[in-house]
Amino acid sequence: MSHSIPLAAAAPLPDLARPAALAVAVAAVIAIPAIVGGFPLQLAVTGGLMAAAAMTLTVLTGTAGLLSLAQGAFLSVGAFTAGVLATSFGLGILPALLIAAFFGLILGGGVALLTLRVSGIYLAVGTFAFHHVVEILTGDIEVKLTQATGFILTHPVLFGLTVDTPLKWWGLTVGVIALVFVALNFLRRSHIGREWTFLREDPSAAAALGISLLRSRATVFMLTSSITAAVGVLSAYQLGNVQAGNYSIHIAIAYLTIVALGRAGSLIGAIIASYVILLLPIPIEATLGLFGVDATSHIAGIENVLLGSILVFSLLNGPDRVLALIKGRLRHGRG
Amino acid sequence: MLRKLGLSLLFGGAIAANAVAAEPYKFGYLVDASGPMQGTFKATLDGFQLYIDQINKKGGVNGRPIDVQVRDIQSDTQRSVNAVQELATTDALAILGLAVSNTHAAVYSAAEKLGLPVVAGYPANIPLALPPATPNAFATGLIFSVTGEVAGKLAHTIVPSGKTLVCLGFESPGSLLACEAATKSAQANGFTKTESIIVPLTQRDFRSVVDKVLALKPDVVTDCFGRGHVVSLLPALGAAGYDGVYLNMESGIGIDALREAVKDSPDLKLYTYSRYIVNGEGEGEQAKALRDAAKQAGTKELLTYHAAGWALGQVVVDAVKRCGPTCNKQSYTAALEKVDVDPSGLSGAPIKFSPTDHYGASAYRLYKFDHATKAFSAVGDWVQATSTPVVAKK
Amino acid sequence: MLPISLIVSTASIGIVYAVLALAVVFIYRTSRVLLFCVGEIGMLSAYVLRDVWVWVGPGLGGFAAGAAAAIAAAAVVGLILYTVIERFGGHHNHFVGTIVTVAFSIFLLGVLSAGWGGEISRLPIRLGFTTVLGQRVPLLGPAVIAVGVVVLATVGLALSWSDFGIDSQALADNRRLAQLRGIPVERRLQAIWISAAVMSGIGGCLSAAVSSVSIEGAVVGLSGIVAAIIGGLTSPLGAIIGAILLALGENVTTSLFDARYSHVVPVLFLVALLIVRPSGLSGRAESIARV
Repeated sequence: MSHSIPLAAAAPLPDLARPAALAVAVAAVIAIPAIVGGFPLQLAVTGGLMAAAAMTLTVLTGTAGLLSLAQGAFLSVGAFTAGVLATSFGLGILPALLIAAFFGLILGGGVALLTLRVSGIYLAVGTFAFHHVVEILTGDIEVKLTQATGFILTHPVLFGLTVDTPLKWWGLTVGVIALVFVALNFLRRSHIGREWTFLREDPSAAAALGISLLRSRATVFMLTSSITAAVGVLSAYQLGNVQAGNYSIHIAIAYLTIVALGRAGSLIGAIIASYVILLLPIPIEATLGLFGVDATSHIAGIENVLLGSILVFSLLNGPDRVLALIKGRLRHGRG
Repeated sequence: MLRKLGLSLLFGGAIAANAVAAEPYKFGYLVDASGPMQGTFKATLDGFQLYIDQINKKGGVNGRPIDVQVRDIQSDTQRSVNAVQELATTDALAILGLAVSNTHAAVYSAAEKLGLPVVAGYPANIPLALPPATPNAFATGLIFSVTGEVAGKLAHTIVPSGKTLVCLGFESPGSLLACEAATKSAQANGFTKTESIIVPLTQRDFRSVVDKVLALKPDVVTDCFGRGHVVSLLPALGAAGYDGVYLNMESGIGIDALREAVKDSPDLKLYTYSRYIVNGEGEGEQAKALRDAAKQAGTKELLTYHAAGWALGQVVVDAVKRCGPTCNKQSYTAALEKVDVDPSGLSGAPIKFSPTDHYGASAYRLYKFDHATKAFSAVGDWVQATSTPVVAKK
Repeated sequence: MLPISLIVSTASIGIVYAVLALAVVFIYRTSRVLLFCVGEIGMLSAYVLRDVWVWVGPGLGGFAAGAAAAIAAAAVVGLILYTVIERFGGHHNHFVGTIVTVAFSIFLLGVLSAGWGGEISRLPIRLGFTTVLGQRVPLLGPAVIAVGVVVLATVGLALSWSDFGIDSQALADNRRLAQLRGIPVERRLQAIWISAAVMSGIGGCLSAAVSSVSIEGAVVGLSGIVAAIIGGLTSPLGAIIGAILLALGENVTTSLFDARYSHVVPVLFLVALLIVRPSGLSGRAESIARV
């Protein structure tokens, strides 16, 4: 006897199952690097701090639609704040975080004001100019205060706890990612975030409804720049040094690549894409190593050829398309 | 005599066989193999590898071969730090290489946390190794505050009555430091008018810069540039009719590039000064050994990088010998602080480190280019420099 | 100061920026994608030009063979870009399209590195100098200006008089309408991408002529992009004017002030300009895609 249970009568999955599964997955993702330790743990920390910065850019660029090339500059502002405070004033990470966040806030507001009338590619150029100015200033600071050695930062002390092992750094990083995620997600879902989205979609309608372009833009720039500068402090302490050359325009372009790869506006996407960009060279190098191509080979540049190809493929939804193509062919074959 | 030779051959063979079986001394070498600076700095690795290969052929050190694990860092800070962390897991005794200064500080910091010493090679090093030296930072290349100071002295040697010196540099802390040192030194050596012209890092068209230089009517133009800058600048300088002295800092340029760059500028008086011999010439045991090894390896032209890489090899192996058979990171660092090698023929001063000075005294040779023979020849003797330049480390 | 040589060097580097800026404008006005890899295509062409020229021999024959090979190499890259971004990419958003060109620049840097090992060299040009009003003027500058003017004039004529040019203007204005009017959109797009890549190649070769053939030389592309933006991103004439202004800004800053700021001062002026004229010099109140 066959009974087909009407769909309507079929019991749906309990509502708690999904969040529980998600919690388990997140716990596993956090635990695995801690268990494995060593080099993978170091990479997890580096990727995590990149993800924190990438999340701010994805909100700025994806949610609010403001294309910015200033990511490297704001990270640099944070890093140099940490360096100068540590070297010239003997101040540690906590004051550095607060002061850098404040600088990020003010400078972000300044950039927003200066580029108020423009958007899209033109805004990107305004932020490009800002990047150049910061680059020159930090280069000067590096020569004058450190004789081109850069600032050296020792292990940070946070609320009495010295963060001096990769495991402690991982704990701190996970906390930072969670904090930044919750804060940005909350903002996005609030009326402030809806204003940002509205301004992106239809600026004229937004203006007609009384949404202030200045306030909205300034808010998103100031908040994201502030967080980015704070992440710059953390990254500088994690790296252990601050040099102007670490914050070239390529950093800004790399972060935009991360945002695009993770789909602009998606916080989870930004986290995943950060790790992808960080880790991708490793399997590429390993694969090339199998064919005898390494750092001593004349054709070591093949790594970038492969990296670029993979990025293009991913950016254009390559995996989905290939899957769709295969499905289509299989369907044709069956029919 | 023959019996002694036979015995040594026998034992040498046995040692070599044992060396193959014995646990190697491991080192990590960071190089830009496919990034923006690859053309300039990979050759130092070639020179270093030549030295290590001939040591290994003779059976290694203490019966153990030297194993160098090379990582391509593409002049990128994050890749450099990742490489250090990864190499630390392979029992590397030290991190070597580091041609471009913008990644040094990050590498030193990362290495220091892991207890790994860093020996930076040719050409650009940051002043961490100068006294009072940072615990794990050693250097055998050019620290620009020292090298820049030498430029001022040599400018006076070339043009004793010279009054105006222009230093050309680019937007990087190392280059800014070099020009600061060069102009200060020139002033101390009789030049009354000195000016630094700093160009953006990405400057490639130098024609407007050349106009600015010529307007100053300099007696000597000196520089702290990368290979790409020099290859673009010198032809423009020659084409504009500059017939004065150009004193190039050999900081990864290569005399092959210099020769090509002044091909059409017969009036330009080109000099270069270098810490290591520029074209494989030179008397001395090490210079000869380098020539032999390069010939065997089929190296087309010996340049400064090869000599500098070979000298780095000497330093690394000398420390291994002092470290002894049971060598670890800590004992290797301690051994590095006792390094005392004679580059005999490759440079004009021994490379000698101490607990507070991980750079030591250095020497520089001035070379003059002859347009007719298209060759560089040494002028005068080696100029000595201490590790305490006027533009001192803070 | 040597004003004549300064005028010539400004005009010649301005022409280089103009050719590169035109490539950027060609793509942006039809696809709303910012061609980030313009410099890398330029250096690929420069390496090919140099190798073929040296191989064939000095003189005009070598130059002609080298130029043909360089243009062909650029055209191949343009075809690949069109296939990937327009055909494979489909209706992607413009931000993603721009980042795809960033990924392409990584790809091309890898090709340059693997193919030429980061070698830095000069094009085998020997032109000497002339004397004007008692001042020495190297002939390289005027030669670059001459080649650049020919390229710009050809492009200008093509845009105004040829079917391709008129169709591409229509495509830039409204792609759907152009399609409805029977313009062979795909063929034209393909031609636009190939033309833009060829212009990038020519710009790169001209840049290499006044500096050097090197991987780092690809940064000249950024100047082309900035020049295009000054000009309004959709106007070829605006791009040319923007390029000249940028070159003027850089050289005046170097000569009269500090060479160190020669790349930042013009960009700061651009920002000031954009405060006054948000859509750039072209002044067309276009709806510009935000991201």
